[in-house]
Amino acid sequence: MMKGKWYILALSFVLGYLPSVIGFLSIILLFIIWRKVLMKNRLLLFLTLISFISSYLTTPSLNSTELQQPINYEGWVSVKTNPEHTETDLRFVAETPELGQLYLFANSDSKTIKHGSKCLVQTQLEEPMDATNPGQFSYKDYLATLGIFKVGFQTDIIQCHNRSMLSYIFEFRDSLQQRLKSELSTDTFIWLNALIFGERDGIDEATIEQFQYWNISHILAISGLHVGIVIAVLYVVLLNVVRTTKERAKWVIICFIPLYILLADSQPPVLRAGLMATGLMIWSLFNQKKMDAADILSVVMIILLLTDRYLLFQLSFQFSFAVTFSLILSRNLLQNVSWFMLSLRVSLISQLAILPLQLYYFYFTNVFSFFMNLIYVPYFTLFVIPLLMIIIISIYILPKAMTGWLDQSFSFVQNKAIQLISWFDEPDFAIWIVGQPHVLLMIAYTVLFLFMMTYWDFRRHVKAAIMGVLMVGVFYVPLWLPYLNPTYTITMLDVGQSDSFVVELPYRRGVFLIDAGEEVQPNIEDVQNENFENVIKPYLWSKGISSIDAVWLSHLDYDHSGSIGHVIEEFRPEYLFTHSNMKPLNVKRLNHVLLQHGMTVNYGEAVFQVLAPNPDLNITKENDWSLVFILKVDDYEMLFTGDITKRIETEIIQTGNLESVDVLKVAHHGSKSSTSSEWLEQVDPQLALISVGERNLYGHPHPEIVERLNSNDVQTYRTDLHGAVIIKYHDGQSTIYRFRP
Amino acid sequence: MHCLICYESTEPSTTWATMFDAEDRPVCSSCLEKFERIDQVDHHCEKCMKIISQHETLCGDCHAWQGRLEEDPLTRNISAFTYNDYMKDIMAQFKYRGDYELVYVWKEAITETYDKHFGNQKLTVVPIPLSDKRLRERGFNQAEALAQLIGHPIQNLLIRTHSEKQSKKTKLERILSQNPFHTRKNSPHQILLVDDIYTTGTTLRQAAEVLRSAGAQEVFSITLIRS
Repeated sequence: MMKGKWYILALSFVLGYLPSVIGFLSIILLFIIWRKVLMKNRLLLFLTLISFISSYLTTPSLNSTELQQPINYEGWVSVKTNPEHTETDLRFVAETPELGQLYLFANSDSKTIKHGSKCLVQTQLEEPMDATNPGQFSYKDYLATLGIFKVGFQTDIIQCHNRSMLSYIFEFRDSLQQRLKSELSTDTFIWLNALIFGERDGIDEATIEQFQYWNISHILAISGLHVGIVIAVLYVVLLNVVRTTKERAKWVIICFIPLYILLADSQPPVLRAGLMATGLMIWSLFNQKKMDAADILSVVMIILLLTDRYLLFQLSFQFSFAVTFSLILSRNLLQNVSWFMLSLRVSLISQLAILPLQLYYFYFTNVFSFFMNLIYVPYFTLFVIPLLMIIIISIYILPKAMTGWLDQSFSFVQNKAIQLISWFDEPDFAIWIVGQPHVLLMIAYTVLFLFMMTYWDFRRHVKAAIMGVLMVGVFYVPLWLPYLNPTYTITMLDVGQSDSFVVELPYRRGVFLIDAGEEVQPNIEDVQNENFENVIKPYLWSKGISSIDAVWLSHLDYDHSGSIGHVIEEFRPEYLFTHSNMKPLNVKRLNHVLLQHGMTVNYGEAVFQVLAPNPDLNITKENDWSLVFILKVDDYEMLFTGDITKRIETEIIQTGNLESVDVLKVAHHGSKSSTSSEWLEQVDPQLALISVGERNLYGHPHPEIVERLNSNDVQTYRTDLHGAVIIKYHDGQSTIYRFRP
Repeated sequence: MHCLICYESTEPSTTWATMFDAEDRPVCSSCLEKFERIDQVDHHCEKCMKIISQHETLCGDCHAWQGRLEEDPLTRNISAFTYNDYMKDIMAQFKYRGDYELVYVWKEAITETYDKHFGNQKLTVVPIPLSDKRLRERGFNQAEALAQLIGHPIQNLLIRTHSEKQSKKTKLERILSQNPFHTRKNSPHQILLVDDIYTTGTTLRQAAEVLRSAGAQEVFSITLIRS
């Protein structure tokens, strides 16, 4: 009766997550699309309604009441995860009836805390860090998808009692990890830890970045495929080595799967694959007939979502189910084809299925990732994982020398394989930067994808190809739209105690970066590119900007120029403008122009009128070498000042070239040594922008300066309070948006 | 629904193509796959659909017919399936053991073949009749059962007088035998004959001949099987 129809229930359950209006519209759409099926099958119709309504009524919210400031909390909590011991702290998720789930960080270790414990804790609860720039990763949103809304630092665990049954399994897992760590080489252990235990923090950043660049980071997580291989190997061993009956082998596996899920950190893809395998095994024990794979997957999805409603919000859950559903529905396209075509099709279909999600989360996709998948998926699944499992077993049964030999051969081959990825480097032509697509575009893509796959399945290749072209064309829309947009945009990015501005001319006639600063860290050893990786690049990519036309560096201090190397390398500007007190850089395809007062730069409709530095003055400090210029687009003028001091301000006033402007970038993060009263009177801005770090060590902006701006009736925006600040100018009107509410 | 042949559920595996489809299938995909579609075999005679080797266009039979007759009354024959062992079994169950419902197993293939080859022609559908005696024996005319799958009105223009069963004669005897068909009406200009099987093509040509002399200008045929 329900055979082959469970996917309708799974779909209606997912639709229940949507906001009221969109949700009801889409369930109506579902009834229209499947009317023939539903009218014939009243039970299905009834269950579809039940599934939608129950999901709709119980969908959790991703918002919670916000704390204005940190609060102290002391009380009993129940521990929901296996406490994770890191080098510096102990982390776990705890729950209280009134506060919900909390992510707690404890400094002191505690031996009694276990999964399922009740603990008396004292902690300081606060909101998780939110993004302060468009396009930036938000830790707060990330934790919300896990149903966690508060974090607690400086947690003291006063006492704990009780523990759950599961905690014994976690304890076994921890001790197994410890033993492997001590007996194996580091190289082997980090891979084993990632691929068998699902903890990839040992793998170095550069490698993870390369995997992400090629869209193959799914390999670094335990995927459904790994689970499949583990089960297949176990089944074959049980049948052929242990020589048990098929029925008994299946029962062993049914008991083994939950244990394996727990050992593998119960990530959504592992849960999915594990439950699907269990379902198939149980079904095959009691039925002769084959079960429809789409049905099993749908049932597994509903069960998982019923046990944890937050799972649907999680990236790995979305990716895992999108890929698995697409591949199952493509079964006719994956049969009777050569091995090569099969891999190619699997890779292509998976990539296309997750493309909207990939762009939504990462703003780019790698168009050659199928090629990397073709190499690395077989390598990892057929070589790495089986060998790692053999190594684990060998620790128990083989002499140490043998294990050592296996260990060394593995790390030798694995290092070569990882080196191969570096050898491919990160060529620009391989990635397609689209930006974060609008939800409507994602829906349009998905509908066209359904059409394409359906035509392909019917072997209507021409129609399928047309749909394919349209479908990919959808994502050219956001790339073309800026060329039609008459708005002029200036964005002050929140880069902490440093500077970075992005200027976008109307109709995409030019994109400029003014300063690319990194915060100065107490420990000079750490090479920092955090602003570049976390703010500048995500901001540009999220807007579909993959290259910029010109970079301006006010001066060479680290907080204004720190990530210039990365900017040049990844965004390939045509021009670099700096003050004249340096040697020109010799970089391919980069015109480095040295500027001084009196010069003018024209780019499109933008006019840059340079007011300083004047090399004839006796300038000693780098700050005073800062480029000062007025950027004029249409009638809108903004004065950029770098880090100049009062001395330079006075010099500029004396030249008599300075008239009032619309926007002033307040010099030197609002320090008292700049922005004199005379300067402010002369410049007479309507708007002042201060780029300054929250709770910085220098006490910037100085209260005196803030007061001076106020008393001059200058509307002031600061990155420490407002996050990124965006000025949009169109038709003589400017509008200011602040990213933090 | 349950398969007409094996009684298993006919619900197909969910794929992109079946997702939006509420159609009840009379036969499961594993039974259906055992029939061999003739248009999926590489190369066949352009006149009668007999499977032949790559470099030929016309089969030996059709060459012989051309030599034998001044003008072939049958313009072209189209068939859906080969006469493999599985088809032989199911045909026996259908034709000789009277399992009339089995005709729906071939519905999709017949309509598909019809649409592909004759969809844009205006043809009058004429099934090959049985003699009264044979009809009483079997209870139904298998050609008529297949003809109605097409979904167009059927005209029973032909009448058959009883003779020996075809299958008990030699090839030569069949070709030389008297024409068992006649008609009492004038024939429309464009005709599509329907029969269960094309073996030598004699029956279809005899029927075509009768219709041609009754006024038909072109006679095509569609058969379930080309043996």
